[in-house]
Amino acid sequence: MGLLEPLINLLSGSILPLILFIPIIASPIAYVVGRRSARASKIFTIATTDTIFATSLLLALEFNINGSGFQFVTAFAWEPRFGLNYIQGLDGISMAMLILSTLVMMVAAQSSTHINEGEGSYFASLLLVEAGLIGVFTSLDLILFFVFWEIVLIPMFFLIGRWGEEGRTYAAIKFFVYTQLGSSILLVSILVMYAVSSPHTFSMIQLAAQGFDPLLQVWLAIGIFIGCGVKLPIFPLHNWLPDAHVKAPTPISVVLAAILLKMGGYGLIRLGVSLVPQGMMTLSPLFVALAVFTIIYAAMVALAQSDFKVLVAYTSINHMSFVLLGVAIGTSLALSGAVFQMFSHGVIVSILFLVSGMFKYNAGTREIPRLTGISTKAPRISSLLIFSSLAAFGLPGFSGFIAEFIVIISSLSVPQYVWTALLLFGVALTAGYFIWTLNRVAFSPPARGLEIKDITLSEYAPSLIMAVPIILLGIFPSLLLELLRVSTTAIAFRA
Amino acid sequence: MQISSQITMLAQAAQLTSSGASVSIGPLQPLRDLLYSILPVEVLALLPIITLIVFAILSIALGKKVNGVALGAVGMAFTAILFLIVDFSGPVFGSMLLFDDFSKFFSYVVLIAGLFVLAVSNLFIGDRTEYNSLLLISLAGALLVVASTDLLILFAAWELMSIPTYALCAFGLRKESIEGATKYFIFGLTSSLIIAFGIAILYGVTGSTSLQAISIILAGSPSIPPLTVLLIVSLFTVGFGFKIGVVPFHMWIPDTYQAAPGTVTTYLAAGTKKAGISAFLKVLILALFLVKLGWIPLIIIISVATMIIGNLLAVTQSDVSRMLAYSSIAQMGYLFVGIAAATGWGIAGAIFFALVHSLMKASAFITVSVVAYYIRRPVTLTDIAGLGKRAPIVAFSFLIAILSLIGLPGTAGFIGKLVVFSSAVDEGLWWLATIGVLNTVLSLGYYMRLIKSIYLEEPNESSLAVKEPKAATAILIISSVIIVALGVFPAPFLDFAYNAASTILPTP
Repeated sequence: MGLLEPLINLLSGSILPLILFIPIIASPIAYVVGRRSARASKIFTIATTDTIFATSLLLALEFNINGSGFQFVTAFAWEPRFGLNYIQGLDGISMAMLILSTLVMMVAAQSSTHINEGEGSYFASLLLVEAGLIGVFTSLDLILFFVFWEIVLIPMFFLIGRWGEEGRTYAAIKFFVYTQLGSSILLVSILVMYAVSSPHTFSMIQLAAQGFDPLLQVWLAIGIFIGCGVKLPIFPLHNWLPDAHVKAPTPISVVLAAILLKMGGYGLIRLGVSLVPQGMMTLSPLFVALAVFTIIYAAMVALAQSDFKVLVAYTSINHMSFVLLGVAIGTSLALSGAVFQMFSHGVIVSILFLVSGMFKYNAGTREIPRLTGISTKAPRISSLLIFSSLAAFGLPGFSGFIAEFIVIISSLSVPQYVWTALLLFGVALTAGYFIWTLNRVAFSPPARGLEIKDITLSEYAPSLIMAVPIILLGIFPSLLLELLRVSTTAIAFRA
Repeated sequence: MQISSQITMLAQAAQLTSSGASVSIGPLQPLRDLLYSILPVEVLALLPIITLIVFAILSIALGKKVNGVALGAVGMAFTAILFLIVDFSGPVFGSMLLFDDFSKFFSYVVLIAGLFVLAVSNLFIGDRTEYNSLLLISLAGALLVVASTDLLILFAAWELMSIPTYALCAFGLRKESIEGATKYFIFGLTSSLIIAFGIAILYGVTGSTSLQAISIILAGSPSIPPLTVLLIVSLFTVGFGFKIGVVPFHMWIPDTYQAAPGTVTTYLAAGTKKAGISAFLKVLILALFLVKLGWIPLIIIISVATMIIGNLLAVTQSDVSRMLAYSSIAQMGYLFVGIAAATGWGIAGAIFFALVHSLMKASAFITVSVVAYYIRRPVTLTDIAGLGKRAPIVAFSFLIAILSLIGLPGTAGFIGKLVVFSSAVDEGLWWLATIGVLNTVLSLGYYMRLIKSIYLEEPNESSLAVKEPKAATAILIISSVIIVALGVFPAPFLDFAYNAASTILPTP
């Protein structure tokens, strides 16, 4: 006990750097191991991601949901003369995002079954992405945040560009350039915040306390919106998504959609709502209009798709607009709904992309007109398709319903936004195309000439893991809502 | 709040620690004491430079019998060690030379460039003795340039540094090298004369050639017509800007960088360019700071033009050397943003950027020389296709250098750009910083093509011929490690750069 206590004290004081450095150190190890044996590299990566997920769950148990401010804070000087500090901490929102990222990375590592060359580099890049994600969601210093925001780009570029399918190089470069453009504007906004703060600081906590001039806030909000809006993505900055998501290999599509998009939403909340609330308030009519438009627009485009993976990609755009809507409404309930939607969409879309991967590898095609009657020949794939489709359009009992319901209710409760009920048209469209897809793919007679074999249990497992939170949060939403309650109330900018 | 007080305490603690102290060398201290006691001050201060000249002479004298490169590399290493041991601070020869943080920082940059170049030279043309001696003499000149505080000594050292490089550029194996060298020589000679003209006018106006004296005289505030100030500044900008390679004095760079042998290009990009920056900073800041309102607009215009034109022209290139040459031009544009800010952090950022750029371009051009050596012709994008599979270590160092050039966080290039742009925003030049970051995105147009070619394409017969020579690979690894280390732990060198900037800025 005497030996253990200082160790526990040390760990709890710096648990966040620890969680961050595990994947950073594991990444080159995975590469080196991969040069000897691909299988060893994969097992090592799965073990690492499992460990990190378990640690984040333990952290969640230690988390005090009634505590205000940030917990598990670690701070030390990085370049103090210039004002750069290494500060990490968690509040309810970041805690939820941390759990989501570690969960998604764990599932992505486990479902990387079709990567057949350069496994060492693949898993090393995957671990670097995880490090970047953990860094983004735990940073409380703006430059540290930006560092991790950008660090994710290069491994993702290689993951899409090297292991993707036909057209991957174009998709990878487009992804990189679009995101970099947004990030550059974000950097200027960050530098402006630093320059006008007194004393000069990059610390989010201090900047939130200092506040900014209302007119400047509007400009900063625009800059933050562009930077995060590329990632969320928001029309008209969404153009990179269909290419990147479709051309990426299956596990990377999962990572992209399930967690990378959430970086945008998180940025809007952590940088936008916390630091420039009046700017966000002023711009909220614009954001609300964009969100409602995108919900309907993306649903219409998805309706027209015949490739299942493209359909899922546009569904992502549709769902993420709910996040923008929640952020723009800005009440405590709306913000909770936005984070809930981020979490819920993350787990739902993982299964959807895994299913599209199953179509590709087990049936040879993702074209819906050709995939008919799979329920008799491939019952497991069919079960996953049905489950995730129902969850995706917000059937009650699943987490997606709770998220969308909360966001819609909170937007209708603001008198000037009653017209946002229009978005229900988009919801109906989403339900429509998913049920139509189910009809054609699962509930129809088997097609002649379609060879499909069912997935093995080990391929089934990752999706089953993802199914747990979907149902759990659908029935007991307070599990997540209680986690978010204190943090969203603290930053809400509308009563 | 607990966290903010923690941060304040950390910042205060950092300011209390002393900085800029002599490098402590522990067990070798008696050697340093010995040197200090037996040598007169002037010799002591110039010991590294004298060493270089001695080895240059030895190179010629012994050349035919002893391997030229080994002698050059040994001489360089010896000089670097002597520099660290002696670590002289203070003025020499009255106000002619001054060894302070500023000159030390740039001396390190020059020494690193020299070490890298000579370590790699064995593969290429290192068996020519004249190559070694010319390089060593030029390095000696560069070390003098960064330490000079008098315009006359600056000019003499400048010529000592530049003239050997004119000859070095002609050492390539093709006739284009002679053409590139001639172009460079004509441009260089003209710019030297323009600098001389600037010196003459400045002397005429202030009555002194010592930079510190000039700043004092200007502080005593004689009324100098603003057009004269503009003329003086323009002359120096043209003269030094040529060597630094900013628009519109950049025309020689793509041709010369492409045509010269790879190691010479590395030295030009990593060594002489930085010496040029140090000279320019000295003249602008040390001497002419009080009239800064006269030259800041000019610097801003040059910076914007350089960034945009450099990046735009780089996108159109298919020859990798030319692409990197235009990239160097554009990077100098970012550096000038820091100079335009003209504050402590602005100049510190520019100085730090100089160091970082030196490392990045050294990596890049050494990689290109390695490839060029094996395929025996100028390197194009198709020649480096699939290099990631063929020469993984070399390709990875090149990747690190490119990522740093893009300014990706985690690399030193990001820190450089961060400090430079942030100081611009601080001075109200947020639009300049915006142009800067947008240019970064523009530069992706060619950097991404390089990355794509190296890693996302299959090797063809050109890239299959490339191997990984030991010396070059070792240097590339060292360079990449430093780039990443500076990106993750910038504090020591950034603080050093800040001290360097403080020594030349007038105290408020």
